[in-house]
Order: sequence, then structure tokens, then C-alpha cells
Amino acid sequence: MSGSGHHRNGELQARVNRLLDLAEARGVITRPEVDARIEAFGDRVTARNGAEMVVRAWSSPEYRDRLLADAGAAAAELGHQGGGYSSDIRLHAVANTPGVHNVVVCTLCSCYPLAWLGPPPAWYKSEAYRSRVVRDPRSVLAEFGLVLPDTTEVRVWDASAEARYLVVPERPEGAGALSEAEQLDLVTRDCLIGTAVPTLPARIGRTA
Amino acid sequence: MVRIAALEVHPTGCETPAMAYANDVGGMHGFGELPEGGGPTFESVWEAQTFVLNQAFVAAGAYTLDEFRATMERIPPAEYYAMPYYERWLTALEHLVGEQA
Amino acid sequence: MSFGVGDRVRVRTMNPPGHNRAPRYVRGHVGEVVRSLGDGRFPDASAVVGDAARREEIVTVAFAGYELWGPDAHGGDRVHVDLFVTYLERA
Repeated sequence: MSGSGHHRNGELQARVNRLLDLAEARGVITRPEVDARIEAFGDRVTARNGAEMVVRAWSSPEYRDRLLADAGAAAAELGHQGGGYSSDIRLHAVANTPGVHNVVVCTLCSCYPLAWLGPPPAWYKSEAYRSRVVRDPRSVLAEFGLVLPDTTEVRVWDASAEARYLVVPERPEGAGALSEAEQLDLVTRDCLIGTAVPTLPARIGRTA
Repeated sequence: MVRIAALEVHPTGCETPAMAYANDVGGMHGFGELPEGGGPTFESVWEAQTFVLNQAFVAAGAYTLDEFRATMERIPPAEYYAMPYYERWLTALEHLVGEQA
Repeated sequence: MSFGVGDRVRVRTMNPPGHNRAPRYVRGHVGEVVRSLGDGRFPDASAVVGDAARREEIVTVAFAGYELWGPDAHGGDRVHVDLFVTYLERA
């Protein structure tokens, strides 16, 4: 199995190599530029950018208002420019509240705020996630270990045009006492998609 | 080789919602549980390169994101579902730049 | 056609071949416009003629879960879908 998978990867790599040559020959992009962009996804264009926006919104009601009104501009304030494919692609932030939980999907392809957060995780692109989260979001969230009260309204956002959605989770109780760096660690990529909520480590969580 | 049919255009000039293709999975049953684990963004180098190449071709004006999506959607359903995610991208990209395997 | 926030709209049911961005699970269903997203290149045309495609308004429509999935849906849950106004008619 792994042998055939390896062989398959070799074949696909050979096909991509032909396109890399073609792109260079047509002046579209050079190999060093391709490498640099891939590196940026591990480095600058990551979910950490979204965490910075959320943590800022937690501490500044004014920033939160700006984030919810124009997320692209609020991202740019922190140096996250977005961009990428098309100027039609715009960032929108949707906020969780005590009675509302938001979760994001793209059922038609796999649209994701990648210009701000880097490319999406494998599960986000899976048919399993895309088919089910619109029909039965609670069972999907439960697979992530997130069980919401019946009284919480789940809002699913299907990014079917060029809007890209970012969830602004609530700050967990007690997190205000943490340093900014510690708060950033609470806001994982999955929190920004809505399949998780920030959770305090046990040592500083609410204890009896 | 994967054959991608020519894009059909409705006589009214694409003024109405069209039929569904294999990509339109919202609400479908049968895809099972989510893939295990957090899932890496890219599993192999060719996937990341395919991703970046597509961005670069779109940015260079070779085709629009909608042309890319429309091409990928027209991969025949059985082949579409059998392909790893980024192989669909690669197949559409090859088709659009005239470089079919 | 233009719609305002609070308008009830139905997603048109039509199935010619071609590219589009109206997921089939909302076709024929009624929802409520919750905001305008401004305009974007109309994808059905952009898939054919590229950047020359006309631009058109996009609105976010909220659908109740039970409207889309029937009694199995959890009461109160909603699905929001961004739709070009050509896909919509007044409900």
C-alpha cells in the first residue's frame, strides 16, 4: 500500500515538474518563487495571524467593532494584507456570543481565508466535512469534541461566493489574566474555523 | 487520461443556476467520518507546488478562479471522487494550460 | 433584481448545464436576506469569458435548518449562503 502510494506520488510529482517548467518558461513564476511562497505558508501566512486579530478584539472593543465591520482592513492594521487570487476575495469576521456558535465551510469547493491564514487543513477539504456540516453541524462538532448546549444556535456559513469567513470566538473566562502570548496559544486554527472553542489549560482553568 | 468535457453554455447566456456536478456535496450522505487527526495542510511537496502554481497562473491572468473551478467540476464524477484532493487541482491546471498528461 | 435586508427570497430551481455557485441543497428553498456583500464577478459567466464577465450583487441568505433538512434539523440552527441575486426570486 505504502509502496503504491509512493509510486503514485512520484508520478504526480513528475506531472507537477512539467508544469513548474512551463510556468517558468511562460514567465508566470520561477522555482525559487514557488519555494519562497511555500515557505511563507509555514512561516508568515498562518493561523497565528487570525489569533492575533482575535486576541486584539478580546482586549479592545474598538478593534472588535472594526473587525466585525471590515475584517480585511482590521487584518491590515496588524500587518496581514491578504490578497492572493483576486481583489473580489474579502474577509468577513463572524463573532460567537453566549447564545450563538459559528462554523465555516465551503460546500462547493474549499474556499478558505488562506491569504490571511495559509491553506486549510486536510479535513476542511474533505467531502465528509463539507457534506455533513451544513446538514448536521452538531454531529460534526461533536467529532471535534465540541458539544454545544441545545439552547445555543449554530450558524453555519457556506462560503459560496468570494467572501471568506473567520470566526471570532469568545474569550474563555479567566483568560484575561493570561499574557498576550498565552492568549494567542488558546486561539487555534480550528477555533477560527469554528470546530473548536478556546479552552484554558487545566492549571489555570476554573477549579473548585 | 482524464477527459474533461467542454463547458456547456446555456442559451440564455448563463443567467440561471446550473445543474450540480460532483463538487456540490452539501447535505449528501455517505462520506463517513472526518479524516483522522488535525491533518497537515500539505502531505507532499507536489501538493504545495500545485497550490502555488494555480495561484500564480490565476494572478498572471492565464485563467480566472471561476474557470479553474468550472474545469475541476467537470472531471467525471467517478474519477473525481477517486482522486486525491490536489490531483483534482493538478488535472484542472494541466487542462487549462494545455499540458494534459 | 435587488433585495434588502429582511426580504424573504427563494433560490430559483433550474438546471441547465454550466458552472454556478448556488449549492443544490438551497435550490427551491426560502430564506431571509441578512446582508449585502457588495458585488462580484458573476461566476457563471466568468467561467466562460473570464474577466470580461459582468459584475453582480451578492447577498447572504440565512436558511432555517428545518427549511433545508426537515424535522431532523435542530431547531434554531441556520445555514448562511452567499448568493448572486440572479439566483434568487422574491418569496
